[in-house]
Amino acid sequence: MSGLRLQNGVTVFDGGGQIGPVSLDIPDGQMMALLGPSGSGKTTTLRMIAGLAPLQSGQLYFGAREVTALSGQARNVGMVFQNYGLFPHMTAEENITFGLRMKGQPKSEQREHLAWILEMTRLGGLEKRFPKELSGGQKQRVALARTLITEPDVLLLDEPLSSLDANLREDMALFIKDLQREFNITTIFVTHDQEEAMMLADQVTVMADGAVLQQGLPPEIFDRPLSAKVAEFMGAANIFTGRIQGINLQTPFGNFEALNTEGAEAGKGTLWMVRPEHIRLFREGDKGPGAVIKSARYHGGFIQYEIEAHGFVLKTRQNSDVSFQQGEHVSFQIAPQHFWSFPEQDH
Amino acid sequence: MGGTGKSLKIVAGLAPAAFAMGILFIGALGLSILQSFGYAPAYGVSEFPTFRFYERVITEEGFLLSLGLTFYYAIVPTVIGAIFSLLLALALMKGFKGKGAFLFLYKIPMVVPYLVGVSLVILLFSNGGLIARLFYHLGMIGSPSDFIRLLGTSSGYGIFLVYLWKQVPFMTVMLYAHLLVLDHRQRESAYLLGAGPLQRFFHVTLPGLAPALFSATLIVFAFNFGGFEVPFILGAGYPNTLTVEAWRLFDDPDYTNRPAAMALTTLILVLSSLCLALLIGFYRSWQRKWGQL
Repeated sequence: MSGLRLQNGVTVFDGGGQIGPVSLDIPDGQMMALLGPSGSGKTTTLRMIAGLAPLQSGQLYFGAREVTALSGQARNVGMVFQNYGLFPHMTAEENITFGLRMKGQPKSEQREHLAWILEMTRLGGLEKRFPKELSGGQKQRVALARTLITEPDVLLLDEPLSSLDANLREDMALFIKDLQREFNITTIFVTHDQEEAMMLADQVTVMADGAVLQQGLPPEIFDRPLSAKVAEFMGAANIFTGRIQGINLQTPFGNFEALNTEGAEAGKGTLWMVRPEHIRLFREGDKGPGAVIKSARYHGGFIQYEIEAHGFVLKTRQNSDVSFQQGEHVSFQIAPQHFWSFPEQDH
Repeated sequence: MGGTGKSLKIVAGLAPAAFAMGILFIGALGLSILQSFGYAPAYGVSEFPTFRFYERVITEEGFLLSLGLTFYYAIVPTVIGAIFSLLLALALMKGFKGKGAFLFLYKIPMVVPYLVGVSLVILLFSNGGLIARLFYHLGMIGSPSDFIRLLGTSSGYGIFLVYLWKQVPFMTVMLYAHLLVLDHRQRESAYLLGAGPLQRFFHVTLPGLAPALFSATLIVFAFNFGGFEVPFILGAGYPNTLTVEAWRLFDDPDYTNRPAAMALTTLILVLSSLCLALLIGFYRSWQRKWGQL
């Protein structure tokens, strides 16, 4: 069953311009990442779902319930903003119980809910602190607790990890994922970080220029992007024009065998991609086509190389246990299943 | 340049302004306090130190009435002005036709002197004024002099009109500027958490506006408390504010009354400072409660 369905949602800005039509479909209890560069319309889509940006046309459903014509409040949606939107003059406890107080819930019930959510969000002992006395991660948890305590049907997170230090991000990502599973709540989060999207999401939607480019499971988006635009955003790096004849693929850097030929017309030049991590380098010169190491950059657990073959520069990513020097002659291999021809050829 | 050299340069740079300030402000203040305690040889009074002049002004008939009137003229327009300004600033946050022109026009009174405001109020609201004549021509009153008396009475309606005309734009500018930079996501969070418009205003917007509202209110209150020319022209004559009474004593042909005028001025200063200290203390305790200190 669908947890959230947006059909051809369009919103128009006061100063002109529009976002959409955007269509999303998220299975109940799943987490979707809205991924895209700045200005692609991710946050506006979130605001459209929250009822903070008017839905000019299209339909919005939470489960089987159509909420298109309802106000943001009536939709029962929870949203955590990028900078958390905490009330600075209220303690963590007052922030968390804000929604319950506004709805006039009796104090005894508020206390019960508070104790439960403090435990769920591991905020015990911090309830009397003001936002300025909390770390970024703690503020994030207060914002989540404040939203989840009201038991929304849909949870919207706007760049939930962008304000956190790098060392906190992974912990917080896992915390959010666990919490989302625990509550079994349909969730959409906005991010411009593809690693964050892969790590957290059950489904990924890639957006650009106010439109959806592709929606699917993380491996689909990563390995089988519909277009070069999606591939570039997912960090594919090696995009080239190739000609397929049977299973033989002619590329600017040599001839190879290729399996994924659905998008390619025989004999015609079409756009292909190969991911950097799918190119294997060998010190021996006889394992495949030859190339020269143009540059090497150490990235912690791996080394990123630029290699030149037949005048074409390819990016590769290798484990850091074997390293190559700049100017070194190497050979390389690409397995046939790792060549991907884009079904949508416009670039 | 070392730390000491840098400090010396700053002190040297500030010296001319500090000197002028010292002479004009602190010097004048010190002199008036000395005169209030009986040191005024130029006026033939050399009784320093004495409390006689303080005793005289405090025990004078009408002092309490003047004191009450001073507070009344300071508090009422400040509170009304703050409420108006708050409503106006909130209204300006909404889009409406002609907003650009209104944003320019509403600020004009800020650059017009108070005395122009006084003249406008006399022209419009006096018993022979334009509104009285209009009412007369509309047959609503028998003669322009039958128009309700707004000026020259202890009710202070005329004074309030001038103060509001001049001060509402000032307070609105401060509040509107603050509203523009308040984090709208807090209001949106409150909305999605189920808060209605009034709940959002009292729980989110008003606490966020408190620093600007407090500053604006404090400045306006301090001005109204020590304001002289408006109550002098539009007030009842008797009783009148402490500032007008101080002027009356200062302007008396008998110069030996000047130390009494200075005693009254010093009292105004002390009362005004006490009020401001109380307000600041109240605001600080609120800030502590809100975790802002």
